[in-house]
Amino acid sequence: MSKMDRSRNADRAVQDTKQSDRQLARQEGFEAFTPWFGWGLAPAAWALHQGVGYAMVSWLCNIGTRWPYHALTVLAVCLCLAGIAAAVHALRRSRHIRPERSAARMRMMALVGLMLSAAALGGITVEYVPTFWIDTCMGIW
Amino acid sequence: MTAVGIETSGHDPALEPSSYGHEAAVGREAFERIERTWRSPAGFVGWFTQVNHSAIGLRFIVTAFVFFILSGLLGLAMRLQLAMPLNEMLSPEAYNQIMTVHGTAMMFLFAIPAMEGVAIYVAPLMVGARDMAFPRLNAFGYYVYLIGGSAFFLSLALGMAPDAGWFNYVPLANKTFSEGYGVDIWTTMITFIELSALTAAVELIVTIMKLRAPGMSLDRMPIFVWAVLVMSFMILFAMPSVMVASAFLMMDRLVDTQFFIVENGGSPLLWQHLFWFFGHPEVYIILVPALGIVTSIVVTFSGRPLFGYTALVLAITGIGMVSFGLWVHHMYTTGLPFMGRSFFMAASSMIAIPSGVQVYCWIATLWGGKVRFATPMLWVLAFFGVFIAGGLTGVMVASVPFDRQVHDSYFVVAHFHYVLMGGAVFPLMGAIYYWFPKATGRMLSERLGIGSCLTVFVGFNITFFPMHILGLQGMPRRVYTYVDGLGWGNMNLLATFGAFLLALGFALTLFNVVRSLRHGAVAPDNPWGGSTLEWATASPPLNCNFIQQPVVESRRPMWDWREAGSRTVVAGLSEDRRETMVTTLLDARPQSVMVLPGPTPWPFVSAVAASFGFIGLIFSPWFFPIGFFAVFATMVFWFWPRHPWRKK
Ligand code: HEM
Ligand SMILES: [Cu+2]
Repeated sequence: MSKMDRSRNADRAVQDTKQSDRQLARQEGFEAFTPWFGWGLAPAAWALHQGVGYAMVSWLCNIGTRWPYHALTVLAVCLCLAGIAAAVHALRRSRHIRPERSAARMRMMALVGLMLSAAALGGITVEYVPTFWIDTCMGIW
Repeated sequence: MTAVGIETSGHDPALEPSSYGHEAAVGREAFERIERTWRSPAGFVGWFTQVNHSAIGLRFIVTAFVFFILSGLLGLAMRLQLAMPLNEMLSPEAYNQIMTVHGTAMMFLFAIPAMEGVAIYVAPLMVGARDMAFPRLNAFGYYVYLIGGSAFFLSLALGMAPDAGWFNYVPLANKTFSEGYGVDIWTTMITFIELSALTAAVELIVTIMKLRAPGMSLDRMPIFVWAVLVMSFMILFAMPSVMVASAFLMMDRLVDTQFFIVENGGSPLLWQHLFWFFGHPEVYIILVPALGIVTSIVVTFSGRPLFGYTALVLAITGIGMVSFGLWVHHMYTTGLPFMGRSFFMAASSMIAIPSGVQVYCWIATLWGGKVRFATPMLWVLAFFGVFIAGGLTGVMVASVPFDRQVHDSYFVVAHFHYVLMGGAVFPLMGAIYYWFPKATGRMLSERLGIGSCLTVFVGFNITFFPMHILGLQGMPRRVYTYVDGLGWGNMNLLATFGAFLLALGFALTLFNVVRSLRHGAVAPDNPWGGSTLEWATASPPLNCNFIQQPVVESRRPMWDWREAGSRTVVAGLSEDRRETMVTTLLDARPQSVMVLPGPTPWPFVSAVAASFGFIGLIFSPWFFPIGFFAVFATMVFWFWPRHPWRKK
């Protein structure tokens, strides 16, 4: 391949990049991020539930009620559901995305986001349910 | 605008066992020019200026294994001491120091750096980059590690090593109970390792995100690269916690702050929380890249595409995520509220799910393929056995009532050696057998390899299985001896015998490596028929990694090229500057060209200055400003403007 051809190739490759990225951004805007929501929301929801839940135990014992903990769980579950919803949305949209390569990548990211959110939901459930059998004051002296 | 484009190389590609004509691809003259541009200076002085990732990665690996041998010998010493009741080979003081140095060095100086080393060596090759994003930072991280690790072992030789265990609990580690310099040496060593691990993490992340070969979109990245990415993010999130902890302790001991002094409102539990918020993820920082290694080997030796790529990415990311929510399971016996503990019991059991998904994917991959049982694959099989056993005892100790029985007993020692040896050492040995031909251009002996693998496997189980029983019989960990008549003698003797068998097994591999460096069969580019890009370069890799950077069109570029009979490559990168492609984060579309720096001594000088400051901190807080300005001065030279874009 001659020097000329090479540089022509180069220009084309770079232009292609710029075009398709810009195209995608224009086409998608905010939507371009939906495959990633689950990636962020799932760990956030789970960490929130576990961390804040852990920190509030002795307080719950003091105030003698556990409704703040239930509220926290609802909030965390909603975050997971939002992650799932965003992923499902992205999966649907990916059918209209061109080029196909971007669509495939987007599908995979959305799928992992979906499953991470579902896993976080599972984790929150597994941590939540047993606490019904545990008095908040147990083990606090 | 540089003239960079994508072309199909008309040249005949790698058809194992013969090699690709790297030189013929661009012509002899261009080949030599490119190789000269990327050459690392030789000689004693030159050694301190090298920055190529292959050189630095190899040094990390070799250094880590030297520390492995040293810490392993300490393990043997402990086993000798414990072989008989009331043995007097080691004094209690010596035992405590040896135990602490063994544990600390295995975790901080061997396991993490070895994984980083493999990542630094292999990941850039796998993503088709010519080097890492910050080559000088890479070198800096290595010297910091080398100096810190050597100083740590020196302290043992001088008899002033730390002796408060690898997690260095306060109040034992407070000035009141640990007077000498031991604990200060421990905190200093932690500082060194943090710094080196953080530099490695940052450059691995940037390299993987921005320097992938054109076309390697995120969903085409090899699983090993995913694992390295997850590992790096875990380092980024976990290390600051232990950094804060060790800085607090250093200040408590040096300038009388009261973070951990109960009498003045400090909290020993704060230490445990901070340490284990790092300490638990740490074992997964070690495990996650190991999972990547195992996946690479499984794919290559089953000769078929990976089953469940997305599921594996999910499992690895999931493990990375969940590992940050388990730390309290190390604190079940400290008197925490029951409801709080229950969260962590649930989470700890949950980690079995992503692990199970992985095992399933590997088995399914092997199931459909024609498996070749070469040595790397044997180590992987050994890993399966040992790691699954460790995982089972892990689920046991994750449960609060069980853990309260076996906490601080030999059952725990057995458990964590099963997971650490299984999860780190066996995969690393597999990695050595797998990538040795790539790194050195020589094959290892299969016969010695099989012998070594079997001996290690048997020796390992003889050493550590009896410890489960000893633990259930009540033998506490961290004792330098025990009295006769408790019935622990036989099992201990057996364990010591096993430890020597284990050592023999490792010695066989060491011998194999040393011998094969000279006498091994010459390795072709792709001896195992692997599918990923590290096999696209020569063995050992060219100075520039790829004489023409590859362009990727699927998850298995090597197999594509074999079918197509030609390679797709990037053409037009400069021959006189160290250039590599920069691509977009998600789809890896070509974006620009990066000019990387060449050999320089400044990272070394900078690391010496930093070490001077850190080590000084053991003795006086004044070394903080001194070290700071010394490093600053060296960095001025390091960052002296170099106008990379100006034509020479
Ligand atoms: C090479 C063979 C090995 C042998 C013979 C060995 C032996 C031992 C022994 C006897 C102990 C002391 C138990 C006690 O007194 O409580 C110990 C502790 C420990 N080992 Fe190993 N070990 C080996 C490999 C490893 C590896 C590969 C790792 C990690 C990657 C490791 C990490 C640890 C840790 C963290 C401790 C705990 C230290 C402490 O209690 O602070 N060991 N080992
Ligand atoms: Cu743990």
